[in-house]
Amino acid sequence: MTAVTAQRPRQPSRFMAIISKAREANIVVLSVISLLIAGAFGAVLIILTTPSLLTSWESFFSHPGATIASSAKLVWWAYESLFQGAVVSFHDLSTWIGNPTKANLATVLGPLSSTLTYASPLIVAGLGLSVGFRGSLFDIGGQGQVIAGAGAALIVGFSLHTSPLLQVPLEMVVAMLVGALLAGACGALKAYTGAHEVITTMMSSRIILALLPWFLGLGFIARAGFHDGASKTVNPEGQLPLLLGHISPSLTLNLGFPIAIATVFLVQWFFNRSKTGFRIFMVGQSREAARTAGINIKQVTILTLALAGALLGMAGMLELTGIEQFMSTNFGGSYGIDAIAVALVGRNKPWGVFAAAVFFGMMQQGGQIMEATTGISQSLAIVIQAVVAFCIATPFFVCDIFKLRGGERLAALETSAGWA
Amino acid sequence: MSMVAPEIITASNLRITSKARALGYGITLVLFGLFEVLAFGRTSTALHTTIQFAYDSAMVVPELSSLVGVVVLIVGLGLVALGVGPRFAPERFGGWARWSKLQLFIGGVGVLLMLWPISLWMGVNQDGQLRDWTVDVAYFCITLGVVSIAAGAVLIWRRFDRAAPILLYCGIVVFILAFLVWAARYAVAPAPPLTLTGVLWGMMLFSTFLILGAVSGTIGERSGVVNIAIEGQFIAGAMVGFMVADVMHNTGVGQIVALVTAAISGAVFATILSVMANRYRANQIIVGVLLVSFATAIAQFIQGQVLTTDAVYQNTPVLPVWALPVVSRIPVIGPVLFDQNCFVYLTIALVVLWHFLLFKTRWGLRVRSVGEKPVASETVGVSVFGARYQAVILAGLVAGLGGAAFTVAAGNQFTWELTSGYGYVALAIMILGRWRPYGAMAAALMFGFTDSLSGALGVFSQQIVIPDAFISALPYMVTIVVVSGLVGKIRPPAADGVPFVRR
Repeated sequence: MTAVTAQRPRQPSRFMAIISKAREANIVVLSVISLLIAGAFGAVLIILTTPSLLTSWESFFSHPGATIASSAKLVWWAYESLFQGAVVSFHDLSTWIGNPTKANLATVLGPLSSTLTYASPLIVAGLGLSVGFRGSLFDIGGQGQVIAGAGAALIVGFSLHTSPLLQVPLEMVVAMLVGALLAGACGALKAYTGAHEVITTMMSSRIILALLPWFLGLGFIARAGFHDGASKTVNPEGQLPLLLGHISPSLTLNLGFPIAIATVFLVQWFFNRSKTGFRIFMVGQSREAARTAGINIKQVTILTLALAGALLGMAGMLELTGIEQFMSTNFGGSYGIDAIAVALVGRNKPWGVFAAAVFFGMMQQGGQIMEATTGISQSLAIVIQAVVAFCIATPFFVCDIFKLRGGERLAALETSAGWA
Repeated sequence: MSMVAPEIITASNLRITSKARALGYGITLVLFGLFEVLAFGRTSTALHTTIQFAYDSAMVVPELSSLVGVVVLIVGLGLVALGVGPRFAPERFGGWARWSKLQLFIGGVGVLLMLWPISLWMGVNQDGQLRDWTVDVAYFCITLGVVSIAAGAVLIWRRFDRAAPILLYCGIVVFILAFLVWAARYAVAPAPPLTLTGVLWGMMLFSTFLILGAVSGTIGERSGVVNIAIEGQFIAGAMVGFMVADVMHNTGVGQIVALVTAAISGAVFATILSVMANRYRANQIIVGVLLVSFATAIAQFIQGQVLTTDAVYQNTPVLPVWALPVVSRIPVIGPVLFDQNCFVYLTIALVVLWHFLLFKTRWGLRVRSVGEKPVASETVGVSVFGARYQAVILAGLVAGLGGAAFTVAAGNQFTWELTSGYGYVALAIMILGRWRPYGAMAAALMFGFTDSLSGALGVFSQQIVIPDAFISALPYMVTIVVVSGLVGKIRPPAADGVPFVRR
């Protein structure tokens, strides 16, 4: 009897298994690579635009170590202050641990609080965009809906003196209604005439932006004594209450953040569990198949854009009543545009959108601190934000360069199709 | 957009659709006329408006005696009739179905000949200067309104299908004229005149970047690649052009180099877009939007880090104004078209060039075929990717040059907000222009006109019931109406935005 020993299949070593695992394209690997690319890009920009560093590179061949060290030092300092300005400063943390007073706690919580404050409207706006993308509709003119929603909330906000329990929900409903009407009208144009939503929403946004100075100049809107387009302020009853106000009034985190988290849960339920959410998804995947299945395409198209518009209007209301408290001609910054990138980076998943919006908020807040400490323009944070968005939303490119497998799966992101 | 089966185009079918269109146009004309009579004509007869025909007094119209003037007028009228007449005559009387170039030329010469004595009789040229023309607001608007109503009524009655579009366009121009006269009315003599040529001159300059952006979009989409990143190319072109011009101290050569580098920076963005669209088959709209945010971010960074701290970048370059020798002396048309910033000439030349390239050359046919049916094009041996790369990158040159219009041509300091979303407007203009360079130019002029007008009407803002915010918003409303297909059907290139997969 000869013992036949079966040839065991060659197991890859544990190390190779990890490498192989890392080469599977998934969102974590992609995010890490995107952050690294963005960081490298930002570093190059810092070096190129800092004259003292540029001159040090002239002596690169005589003193390579010193050159690289001085460049790396500035870049590291920039990124360090970016992080500390966005999340938490370790120096302040150790001070608080040594001396736990309220004032020190407020300093520790300060950066995170302003990051989340900035992020809250962006979360809701990004969710609005992702609802549109879910149905393969691109609401590129979200800025107009943000402003229109905020304008409606403003009128309620300064004209009523009721309890916050009544006034805040009322503002929210009015803002969502106006946003939904504006975007729903574009949806109706798409459904009944075939006008592409990218053009109609963009044009409606331009119309709103053109009419904003006129709106702010109206007699009952304009603040007395101001001529350069500033509106009245929202009454205290209509403002979102601060959450950490008892620690220090400088902590701006307000009720908008819990509202945004609740919206994330709601949208997640809507996408995964609700009938309407599934209809929107079906229409987004294939209009023809959805029509064959008996879905009213026109109705769903209008509904999708109306929902997106409602969320964007709500984002405007959160921005108005939580942060700015009055409207001016540049109200809302670039929330409508940033929301597009947020929805793409979050890959249309509610918690992904949440993470992306918090990341954007970190970049915004950290950038300001970075400019204050290192003198490098805070727009560096926006560059990093844009590069990360580009790498995550077009994963083919990154997967091809880094030889990651399965880029097709990642790229299967439901978004708007071409024209017509 | 739902697919509609193509209609069979026969002569009788065409007549049926165009007869219905003539009815609609006639009703529109009557409504315009009623509005002119009822709204604008209701003003007090004591109110007047002064229209200035020239923005400066640099031009002279040769003098004519009255008798010779009549002869010139009659000759001009005859030429116009000769040029325009056959277009409107019914086919059975030998009418021509299309405009021929000879007709247009004869008609144009006739219009110019007519303008000459008319401008002299209006007393606008007694001391070598074009002058003002003061009209009574109520009578002027009522006259225009009655003419418009009459034209509309005749159109409703007879359904001149061929004359209908021309009559409608004339009606729109007349309506705008009536609005201007009504908006600039005054009771006391020393009032600010509304400079008609100034408004039109500004229209040309304001629309250059819109024209270039829309032409760029047209080229890309004709090849089947949606370029929504025109805004990003504008920003890149504006920034690079500004910086290069300033580094080279705004000399003539420096400005030319600035224009070239601006164009190249637009092409760099176009290259990224076309690699993403062709090699990686990415969603072109998404890539475009992200490219715009990338360009905005870079521009913000450069502005914050370099432009504000460096003493070099403080000058604002501006391109010279060239008055062409003879033609710039034609009343109204001369100062508007032929006494312009030389960037306007460049823009018009590029539009003509691109119309020629797209519609008259073999390369253009290939590009258009790739945008309509890439599989068929590949079957006959056209390189789909090659044509798309070439078209998109060349289009990037045009868009980058459009960016230079903001800084190098207009003489503005660069800020990242300078382009303020006009790249997206260019996209809408491309659709309004039906994916044709000349159409894009016409649509862009409309946007340029309202931009220029809302600036010029700022003086009269007290007495205009409509706030100028609505005038600024008007072209966007028109865009929505047109894109909705309420005025004619819109058909994009068939393979627009669809990545090509080689089989």
